[in-house]
Amino acid sequence: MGGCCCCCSSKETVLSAPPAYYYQYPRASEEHVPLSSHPGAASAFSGRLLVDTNLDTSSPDTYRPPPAPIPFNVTLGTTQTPPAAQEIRSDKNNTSLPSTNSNAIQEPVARDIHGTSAKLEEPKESECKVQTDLELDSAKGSEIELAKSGKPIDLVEEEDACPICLEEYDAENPKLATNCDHHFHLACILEWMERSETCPVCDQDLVFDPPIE
Amino acid sequence: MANSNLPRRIIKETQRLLSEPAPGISASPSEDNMRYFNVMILGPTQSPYEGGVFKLELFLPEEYPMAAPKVRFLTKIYHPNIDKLGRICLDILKDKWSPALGIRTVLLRYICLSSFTLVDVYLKRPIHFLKKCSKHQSAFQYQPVHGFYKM
Repeated sequence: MGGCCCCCSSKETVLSAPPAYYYQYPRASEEHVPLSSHPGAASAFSGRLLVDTNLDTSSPDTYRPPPAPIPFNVTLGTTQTPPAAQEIRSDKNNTSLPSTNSNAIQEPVARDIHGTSAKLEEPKESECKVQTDLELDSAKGSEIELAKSGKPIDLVEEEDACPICLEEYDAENPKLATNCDHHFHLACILEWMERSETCPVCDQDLVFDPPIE
Repeated sequence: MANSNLPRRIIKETQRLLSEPAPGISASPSEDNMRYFNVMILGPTQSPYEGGVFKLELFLPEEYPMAAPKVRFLTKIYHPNIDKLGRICLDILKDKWSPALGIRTVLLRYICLSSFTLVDVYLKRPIHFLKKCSKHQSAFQYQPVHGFYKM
């Protein structure tokens, strides 16, 4: 509800400047109500806010608001997406049912941990998300690779797609694996190695078993 | 003209942003420039910015995904890591960028969740934070004050 009201006011500001005053002023007054101990200061602040409103109307001239964001409450729904994806996998590979169940159980916990802990681990989680999305897009589940890997994380990582260009691997552009078990196109990783010597996914030093040279 | 040379990765990311919207963020490309995105972010729940709606702009430079996207707050906000021009002090947008990250990851995980919760450092000193708000709130469109009383 609140979000919708804010979006309406933002659209009004795009249309014309005078309505912007009317729509943004009530918000300012509402925000000052908790500061009942400073009634005089509130009026002064509201005056200055009007000045800021002029400044704000200048930037939205080039800004076209996107559709309203989904509230965070729907986050509960998004947690159901990974199990759905894994159910798709289980439909294709009946033999891998237990491993997919372990995926469903472990991934939400892992995300919570990563969300609250060090930033160094976040790239890994982002990589898992990217590959999960790719899985949804391609709807592919190569049975051979699923059978090879027993670990849930490896299941996600075995998706045939370069994390850098998001394209799949083929004969002309083969997969190139690193010692930290991450894979890229040769061209993609060479271009990245011109800028950094760390793995784009896990930030470890880039080392290849058959060294590139 | 410029859109005809758009890398496939940007096309894929744009399609995913539009087809699978993430909670709390909304991004759509500009009609004139497919590398320029209009972004809107909701203030995370249980943070001083809860209830706020923030406009941002995001631009993908020529070197992307080898170089980080450029992100800036258009809505003025009082935040220790965001300056008055809306520039965000965030390591993954500078020297810690990785091509494995994407628009969605940058917006949702780093800006929307991680950056906003950095305010926790100030919330451990509530009186200090309240003074900061009182000093600066007149210059900002959104003051994280009412959320403060929920602590």
